[in-house]
Amino acid sequence: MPSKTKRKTRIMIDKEKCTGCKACMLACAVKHTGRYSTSMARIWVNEIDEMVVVPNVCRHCVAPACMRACSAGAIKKEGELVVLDIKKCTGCRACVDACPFGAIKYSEKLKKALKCDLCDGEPECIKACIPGAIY
Amino acid sequence: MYGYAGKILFVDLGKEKIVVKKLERARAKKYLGGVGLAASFIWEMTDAGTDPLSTENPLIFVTGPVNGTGFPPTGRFAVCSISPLTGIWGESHAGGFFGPQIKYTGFDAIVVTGRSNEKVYLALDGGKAELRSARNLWGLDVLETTDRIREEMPGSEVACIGPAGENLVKFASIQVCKYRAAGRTGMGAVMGSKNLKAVAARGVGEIEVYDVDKFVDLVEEARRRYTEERWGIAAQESLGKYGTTSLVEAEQEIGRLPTKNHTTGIFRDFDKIGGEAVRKLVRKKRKACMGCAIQCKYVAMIDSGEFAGTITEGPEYETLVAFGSDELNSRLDSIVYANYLCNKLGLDTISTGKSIAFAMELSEKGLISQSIKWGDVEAMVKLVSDIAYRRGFGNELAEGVRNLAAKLGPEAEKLAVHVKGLEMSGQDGRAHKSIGLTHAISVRGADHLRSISCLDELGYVDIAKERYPEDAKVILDLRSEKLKGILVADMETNYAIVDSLIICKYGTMWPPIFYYPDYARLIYYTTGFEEYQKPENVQTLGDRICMLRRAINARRGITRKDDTLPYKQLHEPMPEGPAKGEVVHLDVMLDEFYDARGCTRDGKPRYRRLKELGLKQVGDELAKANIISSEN
Repeated sequence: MPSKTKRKTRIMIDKEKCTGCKACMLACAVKHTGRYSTSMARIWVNEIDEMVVVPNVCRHCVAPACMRACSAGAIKKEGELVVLDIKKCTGCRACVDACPFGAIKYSEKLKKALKCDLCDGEPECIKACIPGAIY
Repeated sequence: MYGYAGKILFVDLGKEKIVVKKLERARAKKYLGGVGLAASFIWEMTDAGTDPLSTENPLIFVTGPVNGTGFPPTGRFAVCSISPLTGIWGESHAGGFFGPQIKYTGFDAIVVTGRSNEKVYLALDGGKAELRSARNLWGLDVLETTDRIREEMPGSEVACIGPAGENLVKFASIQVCKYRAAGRTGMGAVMGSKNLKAVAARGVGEIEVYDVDKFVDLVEEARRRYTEERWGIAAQESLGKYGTTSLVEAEQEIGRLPTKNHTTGIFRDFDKIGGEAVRKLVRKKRKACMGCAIQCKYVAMIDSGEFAGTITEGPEYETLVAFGSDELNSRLDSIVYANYLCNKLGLDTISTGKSIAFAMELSEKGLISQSIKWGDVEAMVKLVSDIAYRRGFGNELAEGVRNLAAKLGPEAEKLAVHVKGLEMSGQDGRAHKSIGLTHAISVRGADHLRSISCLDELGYVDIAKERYPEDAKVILDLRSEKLKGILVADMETNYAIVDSLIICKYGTMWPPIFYYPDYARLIYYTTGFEEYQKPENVQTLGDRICMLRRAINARRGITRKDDTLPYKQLHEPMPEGPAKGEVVHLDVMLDEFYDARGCTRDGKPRYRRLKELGLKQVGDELAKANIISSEN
């Protein structure tokens, strides 16, 4: 199957189109952990009410608040990407608090931060999104 | 164990005892999951006399190996028990997001027995399971209950009953994610009888599949087949755009749209309640079950009139029939509202709507003293609540049409549209002979989803030719009884797999994209069970599950005489439309079906066949009880 996407530097969201199916979360989890779950996904679908469902994921900000907050130096800007070095992460959660979009989560299992890495420019969540809400 | 959480939760509410047991590999291999796994427990835990509302009757929430993975759709679960509505095998399914959460909390199934002294709910949080007080939840509706529990357990998925389940309405549903119903066969009443208000699950577990690379490729292939290629595009154009609502127009065209308590198959106002009307008037947003690639769900909202402001996940085809054509009601807004009420109060829309349609016909024929006119929206809405709260005549209807008809006598029984006590779903065998057989033989009563064939219904010529190269023409003939026994037996086997994995009928039934060779790959990549690499072994597995459910019913006294249809479909010719003049000639189809299924001509499992399927002990027990002979 030809890839639907060119190399991505950012994931875009059209929340009007989101049907709330969470296929993005499952695809993200299996890509990063080899297992299926919702707890290990780096993208989240929040159901606000019947009509509003909002996927949330890292924006790879130009001036990332998470990077400034990280005292371990685990978060860096590499080109257009905001990259988390999981080995350096101490699990202090400063980035989780700092992100204005709530797009970083803390994993109880890993005791580390969970954040989108854009799957080397070919995000699995985009491939999995049937209604085209993630692009 | 790959694909499984690996554990079963046994909850004895009477003793407040919670026990975690390992899911044995042999059992998983033999019954796969879902209804297969549940049937194995029901066979062992019940007997011929188990009272559905007693403490002994287990209520089983069950998932399959695929649930919680990425295979579309992954969000389903089933709930099985002995049904208080029919007195036989009961199973009900729902989509949404609840099923995977059970697995993420570490369990493949929850087996609930006993009756709690206090009103309780079961909380599965992370790896822990505990009973919590539901004193403040009892009496609340489904929407309030779900919200309250989610306040306590943010991010949890909730399965609960409403007032109907508390009041032991025989066709009370278990609602999940508020608007998805495990509606059929009264599983909500079983839950109510146990003083169990809800099960809430919030898990952080992970599901590991046997061959993750091949599995991920298969997910991608499935996604493609559900959205691209010939049938994928067709699925998106129908189910994706309209959900199941466009069936209203399709069934009208073949004269099979149940109308006026299943008197006819033609509804003059079909276009006022059909897919186009829904899309134009009430459909506001597309929704989906977890991980689905078809995405047939939608949100409906009423903008104006007396029901303005009503918001609910929208009526399915079945609900449009039950509260629409079957009651001669052409007001779409009232159907949406009745659907909303059923969700809120925890009622099966099919049985509720069909009971009211029955009442309307009883009233017209003067068989009851109440005046309930066809299409009377006010009466309909009032009756929905009266059923849930067992008020007045609603209390009679809450027992189901079979029980009410038995009280009123033979004239009423001729009008009662049910099989084995389950109110009939929205099809009519006179216009589509194979569905007549399906309704008659279904292990849970007058239900379509255990073995409906869409090949003949919707005209899948190429697929019929692929599956039945010699016989496609006869198979595809809607109004011929020929070969329908073979067709229906094959569909029953097919869906037994679907309901054990657990995936959805959309993609396996309509459109019929997936079949045994696909299940073989799916089961193998998920579980690593080597024998299921062979499609014929998958078929044997399906046969085993079908036969075990049939054995449960045989033990409870079901024989050929119960595999029948309502009077109207056997004796009153279809009055109009393309199927005008048709009735269902059931006997010829039954003989063929029993032969194909491995049953005797009186509808009981053959000992020989049970033995072949690895169910010798089941056969021995039936033989010992003189239900079957070990000679057969």
